[in-house]
Amino acid sequence: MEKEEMEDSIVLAYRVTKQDKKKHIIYDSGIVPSKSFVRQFIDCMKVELSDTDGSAKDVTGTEVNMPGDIYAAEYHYGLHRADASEHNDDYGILVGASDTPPDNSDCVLYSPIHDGSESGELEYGEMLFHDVTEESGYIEASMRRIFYNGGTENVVVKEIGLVVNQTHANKNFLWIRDVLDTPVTVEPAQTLTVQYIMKTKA
Amino acid sequence: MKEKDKKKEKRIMTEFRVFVTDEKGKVVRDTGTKECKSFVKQFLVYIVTDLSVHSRTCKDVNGAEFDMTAQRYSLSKYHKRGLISANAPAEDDSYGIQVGRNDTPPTNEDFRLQEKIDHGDESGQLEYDNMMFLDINISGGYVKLPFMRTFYNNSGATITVKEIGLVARVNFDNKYCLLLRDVLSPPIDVEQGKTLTVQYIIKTKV
Repeated sequence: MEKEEMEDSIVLAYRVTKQDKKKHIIYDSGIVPSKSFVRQFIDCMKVELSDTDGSAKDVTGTEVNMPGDIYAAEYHYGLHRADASEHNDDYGILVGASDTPPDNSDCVLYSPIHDGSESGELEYGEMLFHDVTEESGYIEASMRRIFYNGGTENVVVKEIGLVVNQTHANKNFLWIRDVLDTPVTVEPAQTLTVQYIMKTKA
Repeated sequence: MKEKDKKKEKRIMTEFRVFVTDEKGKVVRDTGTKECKSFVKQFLVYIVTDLSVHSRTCKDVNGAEFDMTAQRYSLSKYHKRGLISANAPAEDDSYGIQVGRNDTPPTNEDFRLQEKIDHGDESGQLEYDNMMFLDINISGGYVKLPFMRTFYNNSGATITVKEIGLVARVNFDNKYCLLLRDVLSPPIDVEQGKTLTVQYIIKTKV
């Protein structure tokens, strides 16, 4: 394979679908290449791989310390979690209303849509993760989240992203942000599903 | 940028550079910067386990499957790192960047270097130094994470390196998993008294 035809080390893509109240899919973006991971992903990977402290901008734009190694008891997880429960719009896959183009330095969705059934809100479902599988020579992993419009007005989604909770710092960091080529209008009683897919192929 | 060029631009890349220096630190052989083939399966297993906080099945460097632990409870204090580490100290060839002598092409299912060169100063061995993680930097629009390891040849004879890789220690399970593997083309010779340096760069660009 010619060098210029080689793909990214990690192929990152998303898919956005919309269902009506009868669960029929009425919109499907298809698989769309994601812009990429933003800077905080690299910051987090360095802390993970090197066991040393690092720092990164959290979703408030504040540069915070991320301990790599802590001496503590009790319950512990890995360094990063995205397993947000329903109604938790702090991390996991998030949606928003801004179409400002993505940038390496993005640290937050520009106009987050919050959980709820008030005007301009969507009800966040829990994060779901699929097992790592092999498809067409690729190793693939994916995660998704649904967003239900339980309100009475349309909500227009223009941006999506993945925010991860760094467990040692207990802060949230943006890893991925994309602006949809075509904004998606979620009408009352409709459901939006956002899926991120990661693939590798040696 | 032209549309055609834009399409070829990579966004998430891993590169490597392998070079040999003599006793005076002069570079005598250099692959230049090359693109890695890719991460292998265990990398995605780690990512999903970490993010989902749910165990997934992984293969260690012995080919044995195990459930990668996603969470742990301990009554007593202990050093808690992330799910994985690659910060191997000097003389520890069980993880971090490794080198080997086999040129079997990489596959998704690789779980170890095919023929790892062990640490030491005996015949066929190289002395592994500690892993080094360099500062994150931005250049050419990319955010870059470089890390590297050096290997000194005190074995008495030339050693030919044909494969390189990155192995992580899975901290909760005390296992080791391959994350990256590449075959060098051409292979690189490391003569007695010379030092091999393997550098990886993970980079992203929106």
